[in-house]
Amino acid sequence: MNLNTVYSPESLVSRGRKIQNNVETVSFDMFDTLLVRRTHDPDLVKLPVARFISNLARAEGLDWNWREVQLLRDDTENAMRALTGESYEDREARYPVFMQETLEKIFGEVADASLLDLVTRYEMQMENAMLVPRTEIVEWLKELARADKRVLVISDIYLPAEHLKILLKHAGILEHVEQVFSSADNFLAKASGRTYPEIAAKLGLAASKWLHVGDNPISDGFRPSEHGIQALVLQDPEEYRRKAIAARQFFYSTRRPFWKGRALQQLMAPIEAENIPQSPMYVEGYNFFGPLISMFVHFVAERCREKNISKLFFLSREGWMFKQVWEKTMPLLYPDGRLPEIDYLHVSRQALAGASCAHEGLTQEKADIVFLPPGNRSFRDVCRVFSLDPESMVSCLAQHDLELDSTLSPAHEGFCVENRRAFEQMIRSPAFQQEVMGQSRDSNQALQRYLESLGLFQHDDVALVDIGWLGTIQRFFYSAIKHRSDRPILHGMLFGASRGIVFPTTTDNYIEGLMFDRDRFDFASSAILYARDLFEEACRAPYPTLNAYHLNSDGSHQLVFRQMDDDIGKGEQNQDTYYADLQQAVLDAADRFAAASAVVTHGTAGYRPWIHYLLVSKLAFPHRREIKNIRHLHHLDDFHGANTPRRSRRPKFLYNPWEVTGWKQVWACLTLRWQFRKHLKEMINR
Amino acid sequence: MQPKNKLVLSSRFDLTGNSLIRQFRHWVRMKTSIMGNFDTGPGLICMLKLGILHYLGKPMFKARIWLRNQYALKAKVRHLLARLK
Repeated sequence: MNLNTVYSPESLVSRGRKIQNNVETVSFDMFDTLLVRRTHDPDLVKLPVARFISNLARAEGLDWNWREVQLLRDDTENAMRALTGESYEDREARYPVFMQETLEKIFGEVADASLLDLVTRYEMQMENAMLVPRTEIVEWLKELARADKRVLVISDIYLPAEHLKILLKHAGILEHVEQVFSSADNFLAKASGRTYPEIAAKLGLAASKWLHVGDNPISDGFRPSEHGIQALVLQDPEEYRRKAIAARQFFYSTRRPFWKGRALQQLMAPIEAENIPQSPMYVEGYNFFGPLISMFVHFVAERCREKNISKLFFLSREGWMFKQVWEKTMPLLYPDGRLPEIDYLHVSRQALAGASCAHEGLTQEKADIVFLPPGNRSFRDVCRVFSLDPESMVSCLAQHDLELDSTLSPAHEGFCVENRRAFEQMIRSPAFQQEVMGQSRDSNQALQRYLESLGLFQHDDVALVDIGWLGTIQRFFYSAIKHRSDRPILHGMLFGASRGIVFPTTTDNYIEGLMFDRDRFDFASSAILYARDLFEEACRAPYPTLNAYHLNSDGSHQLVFRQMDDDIGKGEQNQDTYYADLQQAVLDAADRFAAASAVVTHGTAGYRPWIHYLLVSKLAFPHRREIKNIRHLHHLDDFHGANTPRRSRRPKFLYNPWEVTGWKQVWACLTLRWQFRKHLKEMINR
Repeated sequence: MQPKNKLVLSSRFDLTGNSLIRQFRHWVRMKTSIMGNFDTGPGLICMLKLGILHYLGKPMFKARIWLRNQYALKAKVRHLLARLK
């Protein structure tokens, strides 16, 4: 018996086209022919389902871990196969039957049809996320359907035809297929060849006018040939290679935690028609930012579950990206739905700084924050940051021998200690504080109205998710609502906490850097400090920043956004357009991250070594072309001020490659190791 | 000049911009200076084995299929000969 074997989808289609004129019916095997799995092992999809069932059982007070659930499922399936084997040649199983039996063994009487439906829906969701149509073969299938050939799909699997139709529909194939056959429905499989005469009889097909296409030399090759059906068998070495690589990485990940993240990225990588040439920005977004941001959101979800947080706010503008990633990943990562409500909160340092002074005034600590960025120089900058009217402060300043433009920052020319002392004295004066509180009252009230409309005060524990870095937004936010007795506990979850100024941690207000936190000595992840702005740009929403909370005359609130018609605003709009590809890639990556993570890592525990590798290799040891591609062009920060500090007299030999251009960048890329050593010293000295 | 578009997953099934070679370079750096905590790290043997699959996998899997088919052909001939006897 001669098998018609082909070695690539292209040659299968070209051979098939030569045969198609002589046949009336073409049947396709489903798995590994029409659709390929991202995983090397189809059984891996069962593991997240077992975890889902285990979580449901725990919610009912039943003590089942996922391994026990998986074992029970396997045993029940095998028992069914043994039973079928007594009456049929093929030892087939049927998913709805053995899964219902499994659920009954776990949940007892609670296991009704709705529970089975819930579990089945999640398993189908996971399968859909893991299956990708093979472009060339699917296109040929559509061509056959258009040419009025009878197109069938035949599969040996435990899923009944109804479930296979869901998968085919998701892949966009179902509408071109006349009928779908599964061995789970009648226990007649391709493996024994029994299904072929059964289908021929049912549909009145002539074997000599029938072509079957598949990947298994026995089930899809010899068996149909025995019944006079022409067969085309695909043995694709490239597909075997892809799966061998995924298998090896998965195997390493079980022994070496470093490979967990790599295996995860292999499973979330685009394959077949998804993998088309993309811009360098897209590639960086998909292979670098995407996994990091998705992992961060996964950390956030895990913390919220640990701490029973009932409400989560994503803070503008970086929260815009985090929120979208959350919405894309959570249904597959936590199908039991035990997650907080989420919302988006419009905030900015500028808007909150003013509102935060209404009850406790302008404290010394807050004033010090203004002079952290070197662009701020005088009291005029303090007024800009805290939205105070500079002219109304002139008399207060004069009482302390100060002017609006007196230099108060040591980083600028003209600084003298007396000015600074006078400034500190002025902050302690009640008249000054009265003036500040008076000017801040309206914006604070507008903020309260806004937060009430979002239901913030109805929760005991609230998480605030932001990119980082000092925690100033949360500091101002807490200060603005501190006077209220119904204020919730604020759990600040930051992408990176650089803590340039000590955060006033209390039992009801703290911050934690989930990817990097200066309070935990984690040298590898401190590489994030090389290019902080990069993450801000990658996550930033494409609309202007918030300038203030405005209180209307009727007592309602209004959000006032920055005008974007000046040079900085236009620069930022250009930047948004430039980063659009990268942001799209992050969202595309998040789509595939959830399923891959559910299969590979069972939680966030194994992420760290890979996160460290990504940060160090990409940020501390970048290629010049990468810097050129992904570095930001314009970065708007109204908080930072526009004054130029005096230049350091000490000559500089080492540069951060992300902060310089031209020959300095060439030099920086040649001295990456020295720069990294300098960074290590800085981290230790801190 | 516009940078050239690239595949996210290269034709070697490796991540573009984060290839095995980059991992290997990082491993060398890890072994020679302080880089931070990477738990077990990638391991040289693991990288070598994966390197074979990424860089020599194409001819290797073609040869594997060819050899398997040859074996099947030989088995068929042996089966026919046995029947003739």
